[in-house]
Amino acid sequence: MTYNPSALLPVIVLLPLLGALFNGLLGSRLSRQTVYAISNTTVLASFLLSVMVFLGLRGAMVTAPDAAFRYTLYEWIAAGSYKFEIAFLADQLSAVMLLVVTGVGFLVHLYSTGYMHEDPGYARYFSYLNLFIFSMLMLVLGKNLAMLFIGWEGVGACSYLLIGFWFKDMDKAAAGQKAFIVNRIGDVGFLAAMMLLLAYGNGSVDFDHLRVVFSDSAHMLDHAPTVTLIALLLFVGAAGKSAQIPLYIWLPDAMAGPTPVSALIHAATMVTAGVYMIARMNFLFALTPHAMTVVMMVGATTALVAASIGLVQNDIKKVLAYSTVSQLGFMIVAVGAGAYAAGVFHLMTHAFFKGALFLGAGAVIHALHHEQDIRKMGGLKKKLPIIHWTFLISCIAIAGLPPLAGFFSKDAILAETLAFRPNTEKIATYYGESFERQARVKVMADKAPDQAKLAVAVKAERDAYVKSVEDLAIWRKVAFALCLLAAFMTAFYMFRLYFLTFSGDYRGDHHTWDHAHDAPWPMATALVLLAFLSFVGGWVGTPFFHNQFNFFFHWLEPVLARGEELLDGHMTPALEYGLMAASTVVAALGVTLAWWMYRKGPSELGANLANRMSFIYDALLNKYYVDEFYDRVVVRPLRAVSQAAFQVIDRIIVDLVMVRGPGYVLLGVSHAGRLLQNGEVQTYLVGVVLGIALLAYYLV
Amino acid sequence: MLHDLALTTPLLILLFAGLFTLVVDPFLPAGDQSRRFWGPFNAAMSAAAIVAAALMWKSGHHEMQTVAFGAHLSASTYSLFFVSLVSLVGMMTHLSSPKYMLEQGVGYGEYFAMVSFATFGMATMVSAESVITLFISLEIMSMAIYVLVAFKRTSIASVEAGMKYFIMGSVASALLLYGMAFLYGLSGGTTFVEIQRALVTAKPDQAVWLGLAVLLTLAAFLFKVAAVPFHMWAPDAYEGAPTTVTGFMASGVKVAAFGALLKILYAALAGQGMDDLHLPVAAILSTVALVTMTVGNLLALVQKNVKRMLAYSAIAHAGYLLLGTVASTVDPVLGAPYAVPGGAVPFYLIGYSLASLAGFAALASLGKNGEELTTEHQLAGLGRRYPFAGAVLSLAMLSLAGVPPTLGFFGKLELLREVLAVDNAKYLPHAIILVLNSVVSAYYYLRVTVYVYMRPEPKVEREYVTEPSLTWAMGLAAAAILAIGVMPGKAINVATLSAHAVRTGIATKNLVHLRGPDAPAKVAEVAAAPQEAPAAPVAEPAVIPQP
Amino acid sequence: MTAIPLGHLLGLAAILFTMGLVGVLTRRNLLLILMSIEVMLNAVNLTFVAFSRYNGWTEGHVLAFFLIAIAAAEAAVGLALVLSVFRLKNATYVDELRLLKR
Repeated sequence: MTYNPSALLPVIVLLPLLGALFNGLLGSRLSRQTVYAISNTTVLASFLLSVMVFLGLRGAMVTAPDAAFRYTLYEWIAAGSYKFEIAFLADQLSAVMLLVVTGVGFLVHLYSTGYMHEDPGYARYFSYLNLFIFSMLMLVLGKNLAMLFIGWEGVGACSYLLIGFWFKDMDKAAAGQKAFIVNRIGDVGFLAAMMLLLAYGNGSVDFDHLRVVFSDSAHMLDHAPTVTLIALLLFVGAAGKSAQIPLYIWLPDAMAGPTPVSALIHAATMVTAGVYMIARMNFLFALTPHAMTVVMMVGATTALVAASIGLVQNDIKKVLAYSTVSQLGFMIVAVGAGAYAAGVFHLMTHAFFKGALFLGAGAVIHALHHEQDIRKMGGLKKKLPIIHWTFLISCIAIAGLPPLAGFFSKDAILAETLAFRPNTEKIATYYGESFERQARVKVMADKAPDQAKLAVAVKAERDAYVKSVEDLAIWRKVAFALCLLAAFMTAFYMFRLYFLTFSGDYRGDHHTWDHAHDAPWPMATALVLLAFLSFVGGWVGTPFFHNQFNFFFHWLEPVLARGEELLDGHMTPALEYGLMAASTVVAALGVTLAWWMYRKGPSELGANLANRMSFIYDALLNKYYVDEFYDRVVVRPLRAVSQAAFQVIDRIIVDLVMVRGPGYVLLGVSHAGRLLQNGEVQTYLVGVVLGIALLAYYLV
Repeated sequence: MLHDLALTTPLLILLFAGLFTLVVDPFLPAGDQSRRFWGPFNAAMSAAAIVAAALMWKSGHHEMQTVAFGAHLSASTYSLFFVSLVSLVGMMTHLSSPKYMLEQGVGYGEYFAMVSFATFGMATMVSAESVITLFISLEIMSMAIYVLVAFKRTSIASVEAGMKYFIMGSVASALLLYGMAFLYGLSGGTTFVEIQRALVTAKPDQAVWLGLAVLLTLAAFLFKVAAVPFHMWAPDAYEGAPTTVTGFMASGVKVAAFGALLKILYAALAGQGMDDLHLPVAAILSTVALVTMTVGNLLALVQKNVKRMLAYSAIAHAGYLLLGTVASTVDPVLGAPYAVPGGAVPFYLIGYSLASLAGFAALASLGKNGEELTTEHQLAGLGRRYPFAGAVLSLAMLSLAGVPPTLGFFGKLELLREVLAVDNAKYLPHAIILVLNSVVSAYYYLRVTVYVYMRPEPKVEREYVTEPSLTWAMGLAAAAILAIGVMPGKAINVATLSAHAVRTGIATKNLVHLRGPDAPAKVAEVAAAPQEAPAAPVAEPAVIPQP
Repeated sequence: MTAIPLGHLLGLAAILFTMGLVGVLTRRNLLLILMSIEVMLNAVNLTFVAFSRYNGWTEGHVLAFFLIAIAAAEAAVGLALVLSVFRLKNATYVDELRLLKR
């Protein structure tokens, strides 16, 4: 190797930025072809360079197994007590993300040249898209948490710009606003965590540095509740970005943007940033089984709830949106269960098949003149063969049938959720000094620094902690059960979507049918490539032969070493293959059920079922009436409940639960405080005198 | 004498600006227009004061001889830093005021004289090295501010706010003075050096008097910084005062009060190190800090008027800063047991005052003909109607909320870091409460930006005050928030240097503020030599009767 | 000259100070509040002078002069404010000032 791969990192990141600037500033004067060429070339070049970095990393790992490339572009702040650098880090985890982002990113760019063929705002669109790739690369290549945060905000900004790209009407504006507010809530958590981490890292949030800090148990801030708090605050950020309960509500609305955007940003890359961040911070999360359990359960609940809502939606993009939320739930379960590699693996395969599904859905919508209701589709199998076959492959992949990509990643998550448990011994050793400090405080109470007594107290502290960690074991089984159920639903709703769209008879108007055309070549290329990846992408992470051929998991080991060191438990072949069989059966059941009910379009059986169990059906269609429940019982009792469910969920969950709910408690206190401020200067003076009296009590 | 005067150059410039304005103004032709000149003039004088202070800092002059007028005043690194900061606040206020005051119907020249006098008072206050200077300068500042708050004579709110502030402020002054009387009685001197020595050597039977003295002095400062429960004047005064004056109070008074508090705390009241006196000063301050930030944030949540909301937010920030005052480190010059504050509080004050100034300047640019737009609903759609004002206001809110890459973020960070560095993270619970508080505060700050950018604008047509100097003020403050936010290193260093010099202003005349590689040797040298006060022979501690 | 014990002077000052404080807290008339504040300041003045005289120091006497000047300035500002209030509201009672609250 003659080149130095680390010097390529800034080039990879800056190329899309150049493209964005060029198209953004000059785009209106350039021809359509030039804009296409610039935007596609920059991303393609980034992808090729990423491949070089990947190969370079593989070469370097021969001599040094934990090799990574680092490149400092600019020392941002190095004075005082801080050290922030604009620096890039390409380790094994970043390299995977790098390939996914630039690879899928390029395919979406290519696809967009076909999809945006008639849109006058093409220059603006491609400029935003390039800007997004730039921000996403900052996010995955950042060497410290601050860089990651800059990218984090950047992708958010691009996402809002693109959600509101097409339409100026209020609905789209509202969708953008919702995404903005919900993500800000997450960001506040992220920021708070970053501040505490700065205190830990003594002014530096460099990942390498933090990993060292959290491996060394002598840090004075090491205290289980503090670490848990930091992890939970980080997770609030991840939940906002990766659309987890209760912050998931923005993602389905974000489908207002152009479909390629949904594929790239709201399925393949940006929304997985939370998963990436948690995998990146595995050394921190692994130290706090309590926070991990919260993460895992939130993920599992999200996976199940979103999948169940997806069962009955009729908008092709809404089904895929809820499916994305659900699949993100799976990834969060993985990182919450300590199966970081499995989470990242699913992230990658999901990027392939969900990318293909969204692009396929976009092609269908494109072919049918912006028809999105699957009740008005059907029988498109023969009319749109390329779209049909790619869609079918991706559906099999997401449903989790072997040997396609989704099967292996989902299976890995399910298996490891069940098999892993935290290594209590090592974690408790890490907090050893903290236990001693606490014990010392308690023993000091009776003023006798008795060594024996102290030892007993330390042991008591430690035992209490170990007990509390061991009590968490049951949740893994719960999460597993929820995920298995969600996997069944996934297979069912994906094939319901497939059959309603492609098989049976066409149910729309004939003018549209006559004009329907298969995907033009740029779109077809992207679809075929992604479908191919959905087919074979899982083969790099197979558990056969005792993980001998599990390249993916071995590849990530250097990054996840610390997190996995704090884990226990391993897979027996019986468990492994048993689970494989089980998940195949579950998926096959779901597919069969969907075939039985929907192969000829919306069947009477389905309608009967919906009628018979209208209670459940309506609940799902309206997303469990959570909103209405709050509306009637808690919030605005006088408000008419007949409002559309979408509207209500926005208002209740965003406005009430997220913003005002915690606020109500605070507001109550607040109002009480205001009563004291009665406008009378002499009351205020009484406050002063009381204050002095209080101070006097302590001082004199 | 001449040397003493030379050391006070920045203060004299400010004083001259006020006097000149006051004396010349009556001779100017009638009519409001000619009065607008006073804004830029006084701003230029404030800028001159900053330049003078910066030159003195740069020349190293202050390092050799920092005290003037028999140790009643100093031009130490510490003083110079704070003098520059309050002069900056004065300058911004002068720049943003002329057109606004004219629109409010009170565009008189005296306004600028009062702002200059108040700035002079603040600058003297942070340079003070004795209780006499401290008290007189505090009064100069306060009285000018009482007048400024009530300056819009035609408005009941303004006059009412002035009256209330006056009554409460006078009582606080009396309390401070009473506390100082006891400090004097205990020590026989008025300079901080003498007081500190007396406090450290106080006999146990004087403990009650000591406690009383420290208590009353602290209470007065807690009043000035608007700490709970001494805060209740602040919302009324902030809401009633003309907007530019509110900005001046929110930033200037806070900077001056914290500058003086930090100095009197470390140079006199707290003994050599924090809690040296067996009085739980640090414990009290940190507790008051927690209560203050929590109450301030909670009450800010429900405010609809942005001015009043910012008043409560100012209270919350006072809480953060109070927590910062207890974050002490070992004096790099004198060594243990002497303690000095870290750079967090001065650095935080830069960010806080700039953000307040930017926010209030943006509010001042709205509304014409005596009308003011200060409720959230009136701000709806601002981002579209007046993008500049909207952007500056939003930036100020983001900085106050502590969102990167604004200055406010690094201020909070530095504060947190220093608070956690004390004694094996003794204040970890406090730090966590601070973080949670800033989460709560993000809600009401971001609410303003949501109104500015995401709410449809009202139908009513409203006009917007534009004027070059106001635009400059807003632009300068916003640019500084971003520029220092992007490169905070230098500012943190300056703030840290100044904070470490809090004690050297009162130390021996030849004490050099140490930097560089030969510091350890000099520290040893200084530590070997007994600390000598430059003032008159130290009297025996007073004999105070047994209670 | 028979020396008055320091304790007596301080006690008197404390009583005066408390009277002033109570006056500020209870009086409704703005002018009486102003007068109460003056009482407080003068109580402090007495404390300074007492310490100074009892110990043979000088600063206390000097400070007393400063305080007299400051008290006069404060009275001037206070009276001007009372005048402004009276012009606008035709009243000089503190409980009339309740526009700003909550």
